[in-house]
Amino acid sequence: MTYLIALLPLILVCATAVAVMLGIAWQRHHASTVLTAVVGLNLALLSLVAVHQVAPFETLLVAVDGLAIFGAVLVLVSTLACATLAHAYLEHYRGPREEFYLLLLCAAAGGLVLVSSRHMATLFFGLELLSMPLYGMLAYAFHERRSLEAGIKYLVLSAAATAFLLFGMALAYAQTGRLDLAGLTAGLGEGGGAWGLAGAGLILVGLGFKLSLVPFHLWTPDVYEGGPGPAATFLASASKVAVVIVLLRLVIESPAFAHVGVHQILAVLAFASMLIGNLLALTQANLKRLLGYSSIAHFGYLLVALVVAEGLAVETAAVYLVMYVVTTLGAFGVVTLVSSRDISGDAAALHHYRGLFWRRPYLTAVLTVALLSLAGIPFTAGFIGKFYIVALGVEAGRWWLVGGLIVGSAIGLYYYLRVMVTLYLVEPGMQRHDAPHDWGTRAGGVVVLGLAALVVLLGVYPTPIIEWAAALGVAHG
Amino acid sequence: MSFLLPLTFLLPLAGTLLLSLSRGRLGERASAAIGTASVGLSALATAALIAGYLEAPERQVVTLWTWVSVGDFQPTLGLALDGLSLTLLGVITGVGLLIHLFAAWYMRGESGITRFYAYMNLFVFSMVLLVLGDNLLLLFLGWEGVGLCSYLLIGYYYRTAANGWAAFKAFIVTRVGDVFLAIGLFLLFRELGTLNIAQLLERAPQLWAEGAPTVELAALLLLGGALGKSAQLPLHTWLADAMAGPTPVSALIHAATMVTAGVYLIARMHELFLLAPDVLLLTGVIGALTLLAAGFAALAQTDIKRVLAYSTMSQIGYMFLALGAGAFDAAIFHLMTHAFFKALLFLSAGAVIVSCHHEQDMRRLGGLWRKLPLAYAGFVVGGAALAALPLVTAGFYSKDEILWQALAAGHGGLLVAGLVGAFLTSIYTLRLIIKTFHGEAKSDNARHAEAGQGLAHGVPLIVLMVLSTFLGAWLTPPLAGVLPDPHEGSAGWHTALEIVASLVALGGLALAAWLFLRRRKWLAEQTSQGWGARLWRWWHHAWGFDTAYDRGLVRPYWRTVHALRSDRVDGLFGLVAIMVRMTHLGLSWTQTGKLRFYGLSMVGGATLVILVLALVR
Amino acid sequence: MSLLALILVLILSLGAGLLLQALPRREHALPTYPQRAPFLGGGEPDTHAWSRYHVRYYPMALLLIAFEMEMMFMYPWAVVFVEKGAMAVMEMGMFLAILSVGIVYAWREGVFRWQ
Repeated sequence: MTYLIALLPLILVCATAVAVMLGIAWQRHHASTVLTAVVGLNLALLSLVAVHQVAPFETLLVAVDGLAIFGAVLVLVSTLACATLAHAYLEHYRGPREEFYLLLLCAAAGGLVLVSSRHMATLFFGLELLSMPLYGMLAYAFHERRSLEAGIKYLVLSAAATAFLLFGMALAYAQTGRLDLAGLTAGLGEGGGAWGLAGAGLILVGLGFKLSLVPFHLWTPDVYEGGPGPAATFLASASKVAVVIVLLRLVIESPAFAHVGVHQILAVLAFASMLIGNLLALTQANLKRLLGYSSIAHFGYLLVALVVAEGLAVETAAVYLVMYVVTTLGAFGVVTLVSSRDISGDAAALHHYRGLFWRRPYLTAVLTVALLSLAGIPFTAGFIGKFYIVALGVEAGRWWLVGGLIVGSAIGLYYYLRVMVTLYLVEPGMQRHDAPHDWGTRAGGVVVLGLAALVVLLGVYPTPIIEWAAALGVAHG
Repeated sequence: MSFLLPLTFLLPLAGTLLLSLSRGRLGERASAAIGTASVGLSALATAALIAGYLEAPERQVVTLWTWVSVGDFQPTLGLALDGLSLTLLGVITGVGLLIHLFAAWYMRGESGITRFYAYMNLFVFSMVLLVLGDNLLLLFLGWEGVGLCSYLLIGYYYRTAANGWAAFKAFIVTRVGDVFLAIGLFLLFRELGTLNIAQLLERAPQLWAEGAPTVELAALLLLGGALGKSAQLPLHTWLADAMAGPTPVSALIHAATMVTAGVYLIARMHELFLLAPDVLLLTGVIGALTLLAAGFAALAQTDIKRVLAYSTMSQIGYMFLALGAGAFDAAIFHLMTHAFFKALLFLSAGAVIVSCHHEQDMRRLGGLWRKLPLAYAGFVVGGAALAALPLVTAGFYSKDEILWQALAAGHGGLLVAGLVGAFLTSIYTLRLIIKTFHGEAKSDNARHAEAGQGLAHGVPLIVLMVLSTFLGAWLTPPLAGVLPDPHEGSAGWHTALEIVASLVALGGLALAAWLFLRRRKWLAEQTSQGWGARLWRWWHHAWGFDTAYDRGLVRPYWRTVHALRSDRVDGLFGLVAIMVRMTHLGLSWTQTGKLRFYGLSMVGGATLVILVLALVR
Repeated sequence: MSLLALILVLILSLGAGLLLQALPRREHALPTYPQRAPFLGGGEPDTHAWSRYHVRYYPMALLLIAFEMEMMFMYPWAVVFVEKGAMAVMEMGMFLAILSVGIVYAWREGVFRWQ
């Protein structure tokens, strides 16, 4: 029974996926599909309360602990936001719309597996279940070249990354003869052998690709740009959260990852990601690409917590993740909503956003808040996250990383502000206020407004998140 | 009861949000109703708090939450309520409510009422935050918030360029003070490791002896902030121009509340200032100088609101004088009564201005006392309180307290300055009333004045009139235990001083009556030629500070900026930007869009990872 | 130094990747027909090895997984079936049920219609 309760969210999400599939087979209907998906996801979210009662719960394959619940909440919330945004986005889509939710639910299930995995098998399985539907989601608007290109690029490179990951797992297995995290920990002992270490390095490559860390980042802007709005949103939020949680678990638990060499690699990756991500975004004229670069930089910042990996590291990473997810969902949400009115391709070029304020003031306000938060301005969620990272870095004396973070943020401010200025420019002869009057009461509008409110609220009153993050229990294998 | 405390600022905030999110769909009445009601509810909460405090006068601290907690750095968002903040809170919400109500009458027919009330509510929110914050960070937040609202409201009629410049000036000049304040906060945090006011005041005496250089510096920096906000010499030049805003704004922000924030800051941090006697004395001297300078300037103004603006500076000068003499409670008492009678004067001025079709030049008014009886009564009562007419006015009691404390503390110079100032006050107050209300009407606008009607017009004026009489002086701020006890002195001297001060005030009134009623021709001749004219011009331009600043600071600044336009040193900084840009271009090359290259970079990365691992091992 | 082999592999693939970068975008045209014809035991092939398949073969290939691949899981399942008893039947039943939902979906999508 405990077993069933602990896996309830996963079961619910999978059941919803099956239900959605049956529903499509029976009769295609956009709204009811969305409704089913949203209800299922909400039920899964609710079931986490029950899961919380039985946590920590461990089997050979999964560990349902505080961290897993935390990750599950973020994954489910992101998926919910994506589902609502997709509803607005696909309203005017000419092809079949319902399958998108099917893919979304499958990917969410993968994310749920991933956040609680403590075995190489579940890790791999979760990662693939997360990635496979994403190929389809990214190429969903397949009659558009860019979307197709995004899907294929992600497919090929992701397969290559998976190869590295599997190779790494194989090496670790060769060293220890075990695949579960506890066994690996025991087998590798202090420092670990050469092959174990190499395995850790290659696993890092595989996961680093998913997090788009430099130098495995090159795909990010292309894929973000090409993929349909909701798919890119999912890629930027739920997918990355799940992978970060896995990496966090590995870094905290596995001695191979505690090796000084691995830490140095992590530090270098973090430093490079912060700087290069921000530098690449500098003159970017496409908002989705810009957000892609910015996500590279943000995971560079986040990696600082993993490099330190002691003291407040888990708390910091958790706080940062929440702030990042809320903000990113807001930013991508606006892009998606602006795009959904544009039937031919996503409206992501900056000129689409020129003077947006004069046409759609609320949406612009949301985007402004999200950008401010990404830039880490005080009284937004992003500031709290960044503050924690800086405090952690300073505490641990990682001056290089802190320096990189500050320089990166300074560069970041430039391009975030550039976008913001564009939003408020007055264009001659532009039309005023072209939003449909009921947009705010529609689901997509409510979601982005709520997210913007959350960004500000968490910036002013972050206490609940901080307390939650501080109380995260990690089951040790 | 603790839930009432946050309500006092959350309600105005809710009002702001509601108004600003309405996107102009609310009508005039609805906007005014929301704006006034939010402050009204906040005033109700304040009333309940006051009742509770009078029952059990204890310092109340409500810690709302800890903003972030990283190691030792745990800034909390806490509110503290004691007699001092309660007094200010009562003034802000009470007088604020009356002014919001009056504005409903004053602003009718103007465009953008929603915007007006949104700003006003935001102001009340920030101001309440300023006085309730239990740490200096929160205080600073409120401090900047009121500055912002002041800027927005001075420039409310933004279609006239001059108003925009006035708003700029107010913002920039007060910003100079704010920079001092901010540096002061940094210094305090570095030295004492906290910004919580209670902890700060507890640790300061342990760390510093009286007159230690650091504490003098810290106090000096805080004083700099207070001078800017409270329009004292030498940062006073913005207040007269700030009259460009709507009159209720002048009443609320530039007379009753915001400009007295500096007084509040010093009173709040008085333990720090007591450790720095030199700075405290400097505070008093600046106050004395300001009250004299502004008093003379007020004599030579022609615009009703500018007279009131200079008199505000002068009255705040009194408060600073009191602070300098160590009479903190007298300063706060005067702050309160001043809020009453100056708000009354401004609102009455507003009534005159609207009735006379936006004519505010005294030379074009006159003969209004029959047509605008209520405004006239407001001016008479408010003016009497301003001139500290003995026994019957609120101003008399508070000003007398200040002078007495200056004497008791042995600051003879300050006392003399105060007495001279009182003399000047009587003269310019009577001049204002005579010029505006007596004689014959000097323009069509004045001839066709229409008296204001309605509750929104009458109620605030009448309530404030009552508060400006001796009845208002009965409201004693509950400051015992919060601020140091006043100086003791012999009662005989006190009575003597009261008599002298009364005689000075009455003397000033008599002189003014004689000058402006009997010798008007002579006066006009004197001020239109020779030395008299020069002096008049000098005072009219408030001792020429504006010109001096313009010549000494603004223009050299512009010239420097102009000279530096093609600056080599700037090129050095530009180099950084160029470097970043070059790097960006160099890196952009990697975004080829080609799958094979992306794959290669991945293999390359993996190779590096393994190489590093092999080398580190 | 036991990682030398791994590094070698990686460097080799790196080299291969570098070569790929220089890969010409098909510089000269393909050889003419007889030269590139696949060898078919002396006989001439009637279709080219690179000929296009109809897209409907792809859904069919996917269906194969739904129809046939579960058999692969049934072998190990059969081994533990006796040991686990009814529980195993239930689990396999659920598995097959979910798979059959996929078949229903494919059916409704018209994969089986051959035209």
